[in-house]
Amino acid sequence: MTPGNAPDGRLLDRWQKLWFDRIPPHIYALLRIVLGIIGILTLLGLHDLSAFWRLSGFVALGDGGLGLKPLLVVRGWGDIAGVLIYFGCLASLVCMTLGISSGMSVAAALTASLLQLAWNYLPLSGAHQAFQAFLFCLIWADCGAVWSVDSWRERRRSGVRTEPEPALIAPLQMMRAQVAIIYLNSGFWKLMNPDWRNGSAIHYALNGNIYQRFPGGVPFGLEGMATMLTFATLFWELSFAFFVFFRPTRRIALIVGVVMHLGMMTFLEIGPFHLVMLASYLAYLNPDDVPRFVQSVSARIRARRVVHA
Amino acid sequence: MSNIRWVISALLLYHFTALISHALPPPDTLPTPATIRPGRPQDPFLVRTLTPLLDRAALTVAQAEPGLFAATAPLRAVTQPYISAGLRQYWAMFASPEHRAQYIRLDYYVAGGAGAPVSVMRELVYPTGRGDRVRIGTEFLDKASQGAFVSFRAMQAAGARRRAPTDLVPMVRYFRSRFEERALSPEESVARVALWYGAAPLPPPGESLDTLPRETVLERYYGGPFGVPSAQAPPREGSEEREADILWTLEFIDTP
Repeated sequence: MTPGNAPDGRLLDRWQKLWFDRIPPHIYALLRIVLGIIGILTLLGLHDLSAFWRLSGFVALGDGGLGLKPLLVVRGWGDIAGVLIYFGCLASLVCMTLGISSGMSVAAALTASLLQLAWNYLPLSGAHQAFQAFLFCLIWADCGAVWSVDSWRERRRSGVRTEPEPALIAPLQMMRAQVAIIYLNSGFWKLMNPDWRNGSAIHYALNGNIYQRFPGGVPFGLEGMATMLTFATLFWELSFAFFVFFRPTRRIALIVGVVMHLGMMTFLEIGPFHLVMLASYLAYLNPDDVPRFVQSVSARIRARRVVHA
Repeated sequence: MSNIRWVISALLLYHFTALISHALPPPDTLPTPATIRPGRPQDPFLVRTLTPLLDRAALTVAQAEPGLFAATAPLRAVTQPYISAGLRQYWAMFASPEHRAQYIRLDYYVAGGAGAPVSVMRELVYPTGRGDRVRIGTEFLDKASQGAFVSFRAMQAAGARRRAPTDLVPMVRYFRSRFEERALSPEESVARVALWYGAAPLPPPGESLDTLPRETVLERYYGGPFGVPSAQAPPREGSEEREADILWTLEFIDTP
């Protein structure tokens, strides 16, 4: 019996396929760019340096035990350090998005986001945590093999356009699993709250004055819809992890997810969380389809240009 | 499988073990359902049908969780340094929706120069936008205020009331400086800031509430800081005031 035929051999084969398959690196480049743009937009939202970055502003006093802040305060560098951290975060995200020293810049963006959290966690929410978790998955991937300044420089240097090396699928699987963990964990927390079990949670979320985008709350005639959405959200979060790992149900889980996030984004103001989660859905694309799709789009654009010429 | 793949596999297992074992909440932080509510005839069909089932599921989870938490303690111990490096995850967002509208106002006690009497100016700082307008974009100042107040409440719950509320201090000082810059002359300064937390009821599903008196009160706040008569003796922490259906509680006093 060969190792591949034995039951444990089959398991090992599956394990290897799950984590060590090779895929086109385009999906990593896509995730790098999309997450980078979201990171930049979030930082631009936090551009008020005197509020969120200078130690004299609305900045948490603690620093997670790093001892950095007291030291800076003693030396009188608190405000300058805050400004430097802001621009450091921004620079690392710009480099990551453009693919300048991609491997380094993704790691730098993760380090910067950890530093940002230690510096001032007050304006940050679940979105930042999710962003960090996804960056952590990306640092293990070759994100700059395509669609990056790195690859453009390499092409210019060698003078030939070569096919990029296939990349390991493990970081992508990590990201997929991370998304599933987020929903499952969030679903369990919701299950433990009576409002989610009695169908009133969405009613309260939409009527509360903190998150609502539209004043007035849920119209009386739409209470039934709010109840249905409460249960739908709970069931979807609890089942996402199971639905998404089976190909036939994956599409349903993702479509429902996109609709849910777009709906919540429309009615609730909870920062960039929905954008980060929607970006993470890109990890569920078939990695082979990404370059194919881009090639077909660029071929169409080229053809249109020729016709117009 | 090559040696490097074995190593990577071990690291992956370690990573997921860390994430999952640390995602389990300590049993005392998990709200446990007291009973399984039977469906009531007046409830909508969905609620009547699903709520008892979900209550049962929650009760089962609550009963199983302490055992699971205890069984995974060694895994948490082994993975603690990894998690502490910045991978701790907590995904309870929107798990406990508030049943009340929330507000935070600051009362600034302004001292004028040369023995002028102390005046009181009042400002609504949370939420920052008007409640009667559509909100577009993200207001990070509200996120920060919310973060500060949630952390203050957690401190209170942990019985650490006597310690300075570390996250409310920068909040109060930030708004105070902003107020001083915008509204005070060079001779004036803020001698005391009182942070009041306001809560107003939200209507339960299927019921309505007359919010006009509250909106009338809030209209005054939306115009920016305004003067109020100063009391003989400044109120103490824990004092309460009512404006329409908003119950204000003095939570914190900062004296620069």
